[in-house]
Amino acid sequence: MSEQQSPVLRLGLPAIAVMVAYGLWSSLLGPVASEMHMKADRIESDAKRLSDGADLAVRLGRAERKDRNATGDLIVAFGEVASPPNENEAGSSLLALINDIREEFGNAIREDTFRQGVGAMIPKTEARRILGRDGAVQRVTAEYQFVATTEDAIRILGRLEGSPSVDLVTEVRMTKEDGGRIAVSCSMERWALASVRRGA
Amino acid sequence: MTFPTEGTILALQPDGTHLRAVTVERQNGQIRSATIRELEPDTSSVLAMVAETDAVGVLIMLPGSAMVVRTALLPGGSDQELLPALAIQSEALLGSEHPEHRMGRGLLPAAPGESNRIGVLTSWPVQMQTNALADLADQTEIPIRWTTPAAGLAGLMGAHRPTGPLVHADSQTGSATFAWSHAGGVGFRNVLLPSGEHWPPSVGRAFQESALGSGAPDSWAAAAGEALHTGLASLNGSTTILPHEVASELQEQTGLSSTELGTHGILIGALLIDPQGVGLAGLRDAMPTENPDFQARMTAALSVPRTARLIVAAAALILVFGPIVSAWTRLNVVEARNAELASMVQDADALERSLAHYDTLGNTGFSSVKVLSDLFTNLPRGIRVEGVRLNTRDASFSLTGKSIPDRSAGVSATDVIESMRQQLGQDRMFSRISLNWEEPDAFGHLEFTLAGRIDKPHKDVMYQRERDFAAYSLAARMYPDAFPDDQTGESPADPEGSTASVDATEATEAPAQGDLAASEESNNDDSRGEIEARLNRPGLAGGDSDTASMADASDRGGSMVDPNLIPQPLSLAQVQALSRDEITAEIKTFSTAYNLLRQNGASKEDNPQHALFLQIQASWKDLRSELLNRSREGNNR
Repeated sequence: MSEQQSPVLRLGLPAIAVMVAYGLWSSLLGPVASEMHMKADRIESDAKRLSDGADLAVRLGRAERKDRNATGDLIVAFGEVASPPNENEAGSSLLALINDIREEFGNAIREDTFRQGVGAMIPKTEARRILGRDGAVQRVTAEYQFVATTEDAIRILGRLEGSPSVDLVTEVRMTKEDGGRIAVSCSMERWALASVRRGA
Repeated sequence: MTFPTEGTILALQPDGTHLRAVTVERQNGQIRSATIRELEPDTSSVLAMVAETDAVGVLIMLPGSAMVVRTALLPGGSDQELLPALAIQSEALLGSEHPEHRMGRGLLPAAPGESNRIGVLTSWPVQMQTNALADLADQTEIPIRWTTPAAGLAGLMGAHRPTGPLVHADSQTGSATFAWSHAGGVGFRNVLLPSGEHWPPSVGRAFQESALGSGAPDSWAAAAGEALHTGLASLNGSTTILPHEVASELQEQTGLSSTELGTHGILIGALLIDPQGVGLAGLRDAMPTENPDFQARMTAALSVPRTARLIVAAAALILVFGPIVSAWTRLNVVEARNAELASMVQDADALERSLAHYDTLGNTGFSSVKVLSDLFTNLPRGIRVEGVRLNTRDASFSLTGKSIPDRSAGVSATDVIESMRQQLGQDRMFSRISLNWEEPDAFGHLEFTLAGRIDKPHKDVMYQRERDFAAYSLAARMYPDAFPDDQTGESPADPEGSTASVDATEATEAPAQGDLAASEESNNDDSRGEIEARLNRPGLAGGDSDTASMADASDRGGSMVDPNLIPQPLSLAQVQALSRDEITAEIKTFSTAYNLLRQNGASKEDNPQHALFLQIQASWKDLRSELLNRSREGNNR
């Protein structure tokens, strides 16, 4: 006479076996498949972003044409820009730029002074767009005063503004002096990665 | 495929070189009407007839020579009860060599008062193949059934028990099938006799023997055999001989004549005895095979334990490894299709960050050099800039300076300021322009302060040449002789080189010959457009006014003027000796030289060319005074 198994054993054992098998699968093989799917999703997302970014190329294409749009005007007006360095690098590059200008113009520059400081933070949303990730962007400010001929003064301002070491010239004061020279006070700023988050 | 009991059935019987056909309309297995046709004995004719009549089934009558017929006496009962008993007897009566699809079984309807039932058994031996219409089943989807003359006679007899026999005879094959009623029931017999002139009497004798064997009276058997002999004597082909009572009922039922019943009645009889085509009229040429659909085949396959276990194992493997395989495949396909994507994404990211950088720069400020350039471009001649302030954060600017009138051109200091204000607002780049100025000094110079907002700092204004100091420099405007390249026909203000400035001067001076005051008044009434034109016209910077803008300050930074550009000073006697035209020409030359020296700092005492500057200035004044005097003299005359 064969023994009749209880329903608990007859149904429970296969159920436990299935659960154990699923647990093994989800802890060993499932993550591998998920990882590969995520990678493929990322590639497809990037590809779609690139294809959708056709308007980006259009914007840049327009920028190269004479009838450029606002972005093109900005590119022409501000010249080359560089991604934000850290604060120390930003300060060093500003100082290096001033030294280059001094060396280039020599005695054409008189009575020049240079001050450097730290300004306000760039808004978070703008900082995220500039960095392409979360992060804080700090304004490193500087003021350069000098006396030079009008022509040299304009050239120096152009050098300052066109340099990747300067993001923005915020204020310019020019006063006529004797001898065909002008006194120039130029405030500028460089955007840099904040070393310490403020208000966080 | 079951044989339909509704619709049109096409019944066929080969007859020599022809094919007898009857289309029978049935409803619930009952015959409603019948139509006789003749066809060619080939498959295409049959298919055409099937298509023409919309036949739903085909019944083909075998020749008597291809069948075996037996009868069985059964006790009374229903068909459902007796058919299994008949099936048991069929093996004993027909033999075991006949396959099921070649055997037909049926029961004659019970006649009134009949206690027993008569079972009819027919078989179509496998060695007996049909030649005609053998391939019909392969060319049509409708069901094909075969039947025998015995079945036809059974159907024609039905519940009748006529006194005369029913006979189906074929003189060409020599076969004859009999059905007759007798005291013990109904007898069936099929005989195959040599055809020829002895065939009719042989058939008669065969029937007589059969009748006697079934216990029929001798006299009846002899008379019936003789009658059959006589009836078949003139037969050429096949025919069915029916007793009167059977024929008359069939005529009423089918509408066929007795002659038509003789030729085609056997086909009607087969449909009468077995409407559903499962018994006496349900023979098949080949063993029926099943053709199950996909679902049925799959079900059958899965019902096999080994197959089921394999499938379960495969499913488990797919369940476990399928996701990984599919993910791996997808990843490889995506990577293969986007091999260069990584570097492109990096480039695009850098590009987007740069654009965001530019956008933020544009939202935060603007290029100060560019705006300064625009600001100075919009300053007309006659404006001396003392100071500039530009703030890119609040987009404001202020400018202090002096406005210097050009009385010789009839342009006042306020005209110059107004022209500056109009030019600044012309391209909508600057707005909210406010102006303040003091009382004019002893020279008529106005010190002013101008402030405003920069509305469109990024706007790329395409300045006309007269306003574009890059394309047409201030120096070129002031000293056209020194910049012949800039005095091309491109300049509408100076199409003929320095002559224009002289003409302008002369145009201003000429009215003074008559009434200088009136002339000056007239000049003051000039429209703003004319004033602006003069402000941008070379040669109007003469006199003591310093009209150079700050941007051109370097041009007058104290450098030496080439002596070759400076004429020799003239004494008063030399001036008075000149003709009027010569004076006019000399005024032009000395005016240009005077301005050239002044702009290069020669007006200052410490300048090495200051003495030359004073000499040129004196000569110029002498020339001008002489021209005025001659003009007055001419008017007085």
